[in-house]
Amino acid sequence: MSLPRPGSTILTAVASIALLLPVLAACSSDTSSSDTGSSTESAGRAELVVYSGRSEELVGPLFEEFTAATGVTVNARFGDSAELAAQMLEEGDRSPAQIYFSQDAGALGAVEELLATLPESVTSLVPEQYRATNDTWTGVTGRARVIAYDPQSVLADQVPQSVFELTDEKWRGQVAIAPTNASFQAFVTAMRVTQGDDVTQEWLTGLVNNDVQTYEKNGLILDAVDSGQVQLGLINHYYWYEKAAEVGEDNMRAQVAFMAPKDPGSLVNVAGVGILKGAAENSAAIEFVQWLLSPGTQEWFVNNTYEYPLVEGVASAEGLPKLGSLAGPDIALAQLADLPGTLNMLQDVGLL
Amino acid sequence: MIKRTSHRAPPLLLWGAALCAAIAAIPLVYLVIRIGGAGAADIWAILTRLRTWETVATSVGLATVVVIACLLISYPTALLLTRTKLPLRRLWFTTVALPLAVPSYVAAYAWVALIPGMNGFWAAALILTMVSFPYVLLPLLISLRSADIGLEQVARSLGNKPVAAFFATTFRQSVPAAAAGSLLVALYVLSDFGAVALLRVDAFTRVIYTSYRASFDRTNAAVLAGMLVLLAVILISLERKARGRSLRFRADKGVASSRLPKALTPVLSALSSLWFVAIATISLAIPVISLLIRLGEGTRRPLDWAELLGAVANTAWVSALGAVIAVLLALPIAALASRFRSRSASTIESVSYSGLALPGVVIGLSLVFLSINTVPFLYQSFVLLAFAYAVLFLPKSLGASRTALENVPPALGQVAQTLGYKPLRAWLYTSGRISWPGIAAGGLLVMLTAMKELPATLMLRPTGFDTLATELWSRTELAAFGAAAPYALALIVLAAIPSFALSRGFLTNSKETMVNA
Amino acid sequence: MKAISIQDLSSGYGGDPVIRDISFDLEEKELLAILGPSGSGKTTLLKTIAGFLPAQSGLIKLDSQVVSSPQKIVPPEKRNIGLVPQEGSLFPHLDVSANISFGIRRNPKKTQRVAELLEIIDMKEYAHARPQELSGGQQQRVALARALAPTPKLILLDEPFTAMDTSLRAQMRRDIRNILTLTATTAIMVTHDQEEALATADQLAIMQDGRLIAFGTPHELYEKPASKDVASSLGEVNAIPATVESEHSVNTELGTFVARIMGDAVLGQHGIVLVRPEALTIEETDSPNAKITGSVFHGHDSTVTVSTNSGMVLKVRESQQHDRVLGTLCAVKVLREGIFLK
Repeated sequence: MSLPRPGSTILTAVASIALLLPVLAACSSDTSSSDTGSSTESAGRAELVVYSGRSEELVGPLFEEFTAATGVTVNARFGDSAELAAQMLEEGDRSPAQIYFSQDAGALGAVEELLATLPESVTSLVPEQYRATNDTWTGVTGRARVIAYDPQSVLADQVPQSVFELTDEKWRGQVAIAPTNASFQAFVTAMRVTQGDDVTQEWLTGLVNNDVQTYEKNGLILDAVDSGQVQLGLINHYYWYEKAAEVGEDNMRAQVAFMAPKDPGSLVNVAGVGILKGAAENSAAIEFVQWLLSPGTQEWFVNNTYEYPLVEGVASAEGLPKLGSLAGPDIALAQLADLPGTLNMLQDVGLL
Repeated sequence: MIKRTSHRAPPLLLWGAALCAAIAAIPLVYLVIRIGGAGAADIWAILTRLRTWETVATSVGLATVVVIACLLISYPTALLLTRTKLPLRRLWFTTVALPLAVPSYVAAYAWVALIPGMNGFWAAALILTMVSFPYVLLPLLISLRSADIGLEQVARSLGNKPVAAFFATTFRQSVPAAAAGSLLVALYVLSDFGAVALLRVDAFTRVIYTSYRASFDRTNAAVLAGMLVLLAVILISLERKARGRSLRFRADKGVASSRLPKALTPVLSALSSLWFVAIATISLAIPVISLLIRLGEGTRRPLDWAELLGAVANTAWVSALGAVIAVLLALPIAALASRFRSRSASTIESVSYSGLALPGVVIGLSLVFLSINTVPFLYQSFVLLAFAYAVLFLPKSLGASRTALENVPPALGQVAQTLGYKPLRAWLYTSGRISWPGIAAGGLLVMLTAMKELPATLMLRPTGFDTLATELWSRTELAAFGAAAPYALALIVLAAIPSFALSRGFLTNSKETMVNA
Repeated sequence: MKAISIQDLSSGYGGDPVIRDISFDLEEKELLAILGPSGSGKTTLLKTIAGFLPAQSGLIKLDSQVVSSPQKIVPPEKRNIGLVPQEGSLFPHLDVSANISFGIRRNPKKTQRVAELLEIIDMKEYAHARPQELSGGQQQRVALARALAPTPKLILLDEPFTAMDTSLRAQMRRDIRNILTLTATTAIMVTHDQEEALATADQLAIMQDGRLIAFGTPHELYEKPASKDVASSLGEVNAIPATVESEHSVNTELGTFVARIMGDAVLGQHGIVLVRPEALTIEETDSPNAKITGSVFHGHDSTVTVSTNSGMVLKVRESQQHDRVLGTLCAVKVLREGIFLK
């Protein structure tokens, strides 16, 4: 007996069209995949290939603005920051990417070997603690670690001010974290740097013993708090604002609180950008990075993503504590390079 | 005249099939290269970590539970559909493959949206079962329908009660079909990441993904992926054992005696209908309703119809092309495996299955690595993406094509040769032509699965090229679930088309039988 | 001109040959039946003639052209040899006419030819029937017509009647024989049924263990078998120990009787004499030499098994109805000439 015969008309149509399509697609596709890094001049207009770990929904309009302002077409490839990093590492020096715009510093650190040193015109715009030590990348916007809480179970003044309170018995099974998420890992690394490995490991173990709930992503933690699944969650601040913008602030049940300054829990991490080695001399690439750090764009971020501007002179969004006041633990992001150590620790305590 | 063979396979076919299998094994080549870069100490460290094995156990446990659940659902369903006068039989026949249209991550997301607390091993088992049971049900339907009821009658005359007779004969005959379907399900569960991540299950794929995302350690990740491949090889050989022994049950002569569908008592009718309604509800209705609810929630930006339709078109074309390539690649391997039983033939077949066990991220990276170093002009092109789908899902086409070809007596091709047709043409005009429906069904299955694929698509697509899955993903990244819902629904609707075609084909094919004097 | 000539042919599946040293010729329009038990190599021989297996040594010539030799093999599609496999193997996706015309699709006269053949096989009304709708016998006829359509030099039939009811078989045999004669086609038919072989063939070849142990007309082989194996291939035969008594007679437990002495046997030589069951008869007597031990009724005759005084078991065919009671003592007499072999 043969397998079911599908509607043969559908099939023939689909199959024959599918065979024709690559031809059409090849004609209409405008990728510069044959190049490796240098920009293509086409009728006087430059093109820039950007690998963006920040989603299209978010920064797509931003890129369009860049094109409108400078005439440079942005060929943006969207994906997960870490997967893009892995992809670039596989591509090696044949990568078509010219700019890497990452959601977090960790991914940037991972591809440092592929990045060119940024020129001073760029690095002078951003405070040292938000850049790579060797200036291969720079932060563009900041995101603070916050604690999301469910007001129906936790009053505003009951919200813990320090992460160390989270191992308390009264929060058993009510705390949510995302151990596979880069921001959380950066936060743990920061804790290790400021508090030492022993304290950090003790705290992590304490969390595990306190039945901490693990989620894959910050957004899912927020959802869980929002629906009352857990009472507390460690996320990045802008998730709340993004969701509120989507569904309406009045529909948000969960609220966020910032922790005490200097507490490891109030780390400020960055989304950042780097220029790949092959595009080091590319004027469009440099222009792009500069533009990301320009006041206009920084304000755009403030208004649209609610992240912190890193460039002086730009005010952060209303209602958010000032970046300076947050301070976070006294470390430069570049110190968070020991990711492997953090991962090992997380694995040891069983969170990874 | 000439049965399954003591012949050696013609060298051209053997080498052709080997080439196709080699192409399908490209991810394996990549893994070998990457693992080769790992130090022995590293590998040992990974292999001796307790946690690694805990997650392996979880994944294997999950796969086992899901397979058992799929079998438990599929057998009664198949029996009711093929042996009884079930009310609304035609309706159920046509909807039976539709759950395949729902991606596992969409199902998980929809359920979690509805029941926020839903998570854990059993939730994952439920959801994965409900989206993959058709993989077992469809081959089972075919097997039960063509089973020779004469054998059962003989068994009953020998004193077996009907149930025992059924188990002794028809059930045994259905084992290869059930085994083939179970293999697909097991590999699917092992390689799934989306659903288990959402449902917070500590599965093995999570460890692999963490390796890539957190430590950017492609070497470590490759070692872990290698473990998955080994698991897959074990499963494949288990399936082959189950398949091999039962080949003897296949009647070579005689058309299967026709059977009269049994009438059901009103109570049984009601219960059976309830069964089908329950399955349809859990696997289809609930996810769709949940998505519709989310759709009703506000979104920041209104739906861009042009973008949505663009993604629909892209998804349709690239998955269709991927299906065509998959069928073409699988055909020589299927032709070889269906006729010749040498060691090389089965090795070639096994090699082509291994890709199904690997998570999409591994396939994606392997093709990035290999294409950029060998055919850079194809990197990040439409064709490469279609090719990736073909490599990923080739085993689905292979199983379907092989089964279809196995059912064609070799004598037909030989007769055609004596009538003046050169060997290849003789094969095309006989075996090829007769098994076309089965081959096409395999193609539909590939197309369907390709539509839902995400990680490899993200990595390999042309810049600016979006499929429904990638659009869906980029919105969920932002927690813009309301905005994601239309894309999720569009994906289900689009994938429902080939699913529907598969089911319908089953109905219209009911008259066709092989001719044996 | 010989239609097909085979010389010292050996062939197999790679490795040791399955058939060895096969030699025979066949004239045009003749029907050769190859008879032998399973495993005797008949199918292998057929495959080799068709061109699906190479000749490891020896030659096959069709119309004096060499088509198979260790150096050369003409592929099946170029040999113009028709094939009717065991189960007909009609193409299920084509109707009867399309099946028949499969090999002559490019022929401008194909419609005519199909009509002709449908007439010959007496299935004109079935021109557009599907194979699934036909009975076994009808399918075989269509399969034959399909093979005949391109006017092949030779047709190979692999146990064509095995899948049929006995009642049909005799009729089918006649039909097929007639069709072959009508179309003047040379044919080689493989069978394990000796009745079939004897009834239909012009020439008969007997195979055993990969070798040809006899070749000749059915009459020749039946009347003058060269060995016990040949004889028993063609039907039941009694092999009785005997001694040469004179130039034309032998002495046995059943007495002395006429026998053709084969080979250069001398007086007093010991050997066996082959006597067919129908050449024996059972009589009532006062000096019995055997005891009845069994009886099988065939409708048109019966086979009675007897056990002689020395314990030898003989089969006797009787065309008349006798109520043979087990245990009765009787005398077994030889009616006709036997064949003595060393």
